[in-house]
Amino acid sequence: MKAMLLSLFVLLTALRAQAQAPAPVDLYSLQQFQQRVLQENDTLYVVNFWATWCIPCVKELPHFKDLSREYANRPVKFILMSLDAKDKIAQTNAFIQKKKMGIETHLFAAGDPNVWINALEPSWEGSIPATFLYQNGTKLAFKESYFATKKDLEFFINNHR
Amino acid sequence: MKKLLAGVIALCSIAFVSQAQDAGYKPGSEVADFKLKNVDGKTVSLSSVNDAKGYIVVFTCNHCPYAKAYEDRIIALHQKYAGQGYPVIAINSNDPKVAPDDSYSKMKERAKEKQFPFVYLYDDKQEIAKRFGAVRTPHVYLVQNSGNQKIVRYIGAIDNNWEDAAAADQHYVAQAIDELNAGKPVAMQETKAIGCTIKWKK
Repeated sequence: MKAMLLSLFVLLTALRAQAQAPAPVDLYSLQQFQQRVLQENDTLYVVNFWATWCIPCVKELPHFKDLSREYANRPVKFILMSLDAKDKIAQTNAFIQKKKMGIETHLFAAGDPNVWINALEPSWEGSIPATFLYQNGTKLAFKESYFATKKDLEFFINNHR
Repeated sequence: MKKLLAGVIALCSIAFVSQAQDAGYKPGSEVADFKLKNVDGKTVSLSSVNDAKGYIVVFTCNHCPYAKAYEDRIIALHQKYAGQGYPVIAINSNDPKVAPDDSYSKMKERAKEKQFPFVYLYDDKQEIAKRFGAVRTPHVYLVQNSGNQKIVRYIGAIDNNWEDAAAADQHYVAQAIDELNAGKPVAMQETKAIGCTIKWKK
């Protein structure tokens, strides 16, 4: 019995680990993005817009990585939306792998920025990093600056959910 | 109690108004002239530019990939529009402690390498970026001389495709200047774009 339970545990752990390994970075349209984050469920989507070349973005990535691990058993889903150029998708993927982010990542290829920035958040001036919270098909919060500490990000998330 | 409430509301609205002013210029705002040091060591103000009908003020920098992607387009804008009265006034406001490539000496290097035909000014105190409300690079403010006033006519991006200049089908700054030169109001007065944040002093 013990052996069976143990093997079941091992199997479940393996499955979970597999489920956690995110797919390689892919191109995402505005429509795909909205379908992904505007879902009628309790999951809180923490979406960070960033780019590999953006100094403050890269600085705050570890906070997202750490919190995604800490919140693994909660209905919270972290998503990274890269604003790197479309032809830099391989480099973006390599960057995510190298940093062992383990977070679902897409490269946002949504066309005219004046259209999609206003569609996502009219007050967004267009600087990155920028972070959104979505839940139950609505946008809960938006922040156009970077999180200096993991605590700051955690406060932002918990303050709005 | 009513008086107190009225007082609180008055205070709140003052706070709100001052915050709105901090947020910088909007289309229609009057621009206060400024003096900044150019890469050639000379001090430049808007009024010191001869025969200007206005100015293409661009907050930009050396290091940002978006600014780099737009560098040749900024040069092209100046080459096309300086002769029509709208020269480019490029301003770097980044703190070189945060972005070492954006120091004054690196600005001089970049201006020489690319043979910038326009002035490239160093906003070392970051006051001008704050006054304008610029937050990213590149961030354009198209200013028109109107009587004694300098009025903001357009704020935003240069065009709508940073990755591929040839694929852009909205050339916001060029369209706005063409409209002003035709005596028409600017149709698209504000646009959004992604850019690097201006690197503020800590």
